[in-house]
Amino acid sequence: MIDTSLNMNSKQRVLNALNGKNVDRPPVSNPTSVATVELMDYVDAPFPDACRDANLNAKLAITGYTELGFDSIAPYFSIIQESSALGCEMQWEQKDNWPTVRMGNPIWKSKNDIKIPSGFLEHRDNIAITKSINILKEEVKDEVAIFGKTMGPWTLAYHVFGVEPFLLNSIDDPQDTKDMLRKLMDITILFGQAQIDAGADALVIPDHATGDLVSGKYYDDFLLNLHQELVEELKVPLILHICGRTVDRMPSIAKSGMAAFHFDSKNSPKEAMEAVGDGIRLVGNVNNPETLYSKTPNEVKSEVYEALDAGVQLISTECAIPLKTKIENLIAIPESVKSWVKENI
Amino acid sequence: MRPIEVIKKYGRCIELISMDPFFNNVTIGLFFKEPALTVYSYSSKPGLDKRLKDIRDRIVDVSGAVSLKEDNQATFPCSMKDGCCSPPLRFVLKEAVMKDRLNDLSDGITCKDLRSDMFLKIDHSIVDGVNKYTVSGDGNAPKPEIRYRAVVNGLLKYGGFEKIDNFSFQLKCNMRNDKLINLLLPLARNISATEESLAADELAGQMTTQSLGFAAN
Repeated sequence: MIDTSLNMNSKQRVLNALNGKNVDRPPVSNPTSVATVELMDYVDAPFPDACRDANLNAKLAITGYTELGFDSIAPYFSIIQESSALGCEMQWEQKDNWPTVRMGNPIWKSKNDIKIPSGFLEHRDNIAITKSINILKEEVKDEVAIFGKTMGPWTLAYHVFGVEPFLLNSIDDPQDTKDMLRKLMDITILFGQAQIDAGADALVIPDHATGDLVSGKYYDDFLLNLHQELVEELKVPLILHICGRTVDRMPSIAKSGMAAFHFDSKNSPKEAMEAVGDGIRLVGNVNNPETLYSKTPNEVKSEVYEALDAGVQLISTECAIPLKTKIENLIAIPESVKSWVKENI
Repeated sequence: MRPIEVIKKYGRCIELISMDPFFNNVTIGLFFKEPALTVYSYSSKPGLDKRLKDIRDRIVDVSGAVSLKEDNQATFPCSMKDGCCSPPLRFVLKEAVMKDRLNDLSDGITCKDLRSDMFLKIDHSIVDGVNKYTVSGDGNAPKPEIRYRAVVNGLLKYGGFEKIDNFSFQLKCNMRNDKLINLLLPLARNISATEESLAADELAGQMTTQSLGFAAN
């Protein structure tokens, strides 16, 4: 519930919203990334270095709060840090593109191959995140919520086994796939806990059982119980992120026990709210490729209002924003939340 | 300047080049606050001011814009009222930042057609006070009228110009601007390739289930 008489800082606002408590206004958060090429120039922290060096990472991450006015800071911009530490073949790209895992050359073939390398948490691409969280925590103290991020087992499986082999195995041998996911979840917990220890206030769990590739039943069969276990293991609010059309699995996601679900603009805020009921909070869902990338603050405002009118508790972009997103469209998100509160509360 | 101050001072960022290949891979933005176009970068690399001026000068050279007093500002002769002459700016900025070639009009507005042996050309005339541009060609083509019409359609699409008839058009502000037409002609002669190039530009830096490889193609 919104109570404008409350006087909250950004961190309180985010954590209250994630915990279903009252807020002075809905927080603007970024479970994924709001880094842009312009912000990289502004703080001289370009990709890919900003993904691999803690100091550059922190410099870029904090701009989400200082320059855009978001209520949270998310230093893990991409989805590949721990996969790099596991030994996956990487394509680091340049400033203008996202680093990716070359999933065509997977490192593992079976569950027996799954082993966490020694020094996993000390790998430069994991240290970049945990040390950045240290730096950010020191800088913002308890003013702003810091979001860590640790890949769920499904996403890790795509990276280490390759998308096609992994999905085919899920049809050929579901139990074997479940065994794989359970073993991979140790990595999710290990890296997630390291970020909590470093100072993360909440964790985002991207686990890409997307509507584009698997049915809603897959979520029930393979992931729901694992996600419930993650909630038991990682003692901060967890935000599940799955891209794409997911409304068919939202009722199950609502049973995961996670604090919130970060949803895509392929699902309307109204139908998403109806699908999850009171089971989980929603974070979302301003469209990236069209609205934020190529439209104007007016269209951004309209989508923010649609989400707030539907009752979405935390406002954010739908996924990691395009790196060429114009800053004025991002600044429009918190401004729109404030104007909505002024007009409606 | 902080981003919010830049936006207040220079207006909307209407075009962005992620990496300037001729200057430290900095990001170059083109901001618009009527009537001024401003070339700006958030980078603080030494020598940036000179590079911004160079880009501004390139914009003037390749598009027929005119310089303003500030070294990084320009406008079009129509003063860009209500955004006039802004549709082609994505091509103008790309040409100004990414390429290092002059907009050569010594042979008139002309380029080779990609579908025939013909050379396409565009002639300017003044008819009843209208600065009219007409597409024609030199050389052999099976059905040249079809090509002229396609080129006009491409110019309307990328330039935001106004159609006069199937083979001719004018700028919305009714100004004469041969440089701008000459810049757009190679793009307008091959709409499908231009669209593919634009789509590729837009995909770069997007994180989607497709770009991550998490979607069926």
